[in-house]
Amino acid sequence: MSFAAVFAAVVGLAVPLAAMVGAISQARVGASAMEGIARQPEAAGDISRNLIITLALIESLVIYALLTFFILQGKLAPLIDKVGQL
Amino acid sequence: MEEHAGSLVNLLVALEPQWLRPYLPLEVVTGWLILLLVVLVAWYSVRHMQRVPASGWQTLAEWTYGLCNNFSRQMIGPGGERYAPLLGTLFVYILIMNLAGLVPGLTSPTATLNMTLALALTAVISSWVYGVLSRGPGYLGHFVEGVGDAPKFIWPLLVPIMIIVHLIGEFARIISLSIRLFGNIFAKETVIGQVLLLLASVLAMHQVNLLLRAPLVLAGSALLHLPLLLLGLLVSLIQAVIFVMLTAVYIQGAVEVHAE
Repeated sequence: MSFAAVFAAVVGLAVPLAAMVGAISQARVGASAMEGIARQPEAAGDISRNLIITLALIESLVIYALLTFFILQGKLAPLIDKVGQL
Repeated sequence: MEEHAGSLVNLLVALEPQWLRPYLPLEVVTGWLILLLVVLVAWYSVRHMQRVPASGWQTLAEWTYGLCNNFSRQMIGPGGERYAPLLGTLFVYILIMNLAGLVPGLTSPTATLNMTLALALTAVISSWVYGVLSRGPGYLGHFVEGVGDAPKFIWPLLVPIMIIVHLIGEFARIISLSIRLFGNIFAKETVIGQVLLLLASVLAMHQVNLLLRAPLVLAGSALLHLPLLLLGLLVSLIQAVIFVMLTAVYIQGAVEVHAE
């Protein structure tokens, strides 16, 4: 298995892995927020505000993975040209 | 990262004078134009103000003012109106900059790390400044807040570590604020750009009959492009709200009065 092949595979896997874990954690946060609102409907405004902030913080981690993908994807084509073939 | 990825979206990018690009990138000029637009609308809205708003512009201005004040007071506490100008300006400016990418012919200035880094630096440094202004130089003692509980002999070891950890936390705030906004808006623009390229390449296939290409491109626009534009609207709004909300949380952490 050549380096370029492994590199290409890893570059492709960066965002999906991050998105999977991110989706699971966001789902947990969303579920507990829904439970909280169901238990105390008058706190819905407060809970929603904190929910949005938490969701954005988790999502920013997935965005970091996307940026890593963009950086690495730029280096992928020159690498393949240099190596000749995967 | 390709600097022009945002402008891939713009089929009218040829309008940009190329001699200008090394000196004044399109993103910077768009940022200035948005600034000018917001200032002009604000100035026009409060000209000839009346007690009962006579024009829709004044109603819009009053609504925006109320929104910013309520938000600041809700997030920061009773004295929050002091910080409403900063938070309101950040919100309006970032929101319009995010939305600019959806307009044909323009690109979002926030799709560049330069712009978002400047905004994040503004937000975090202003939280430091407000902390010092409202609590005095004792604000810097905030760095070593958790140390009082530890026994005294461990302080010379703990204090430098706490300071370093706190500074790293501040830099993490700057980086995360800027990269979150940049990543979201840049990804939105790139995705819309790629879909447009796909549709344009289908449209450009000369071998296929035009009667076959046109419905395909129209269906593709309705199924791919339109939902992505709507998603872009949502993301632009949410990211502007998140940026301002986090800035408000940082400012609140800096100016809160500890119950003595």
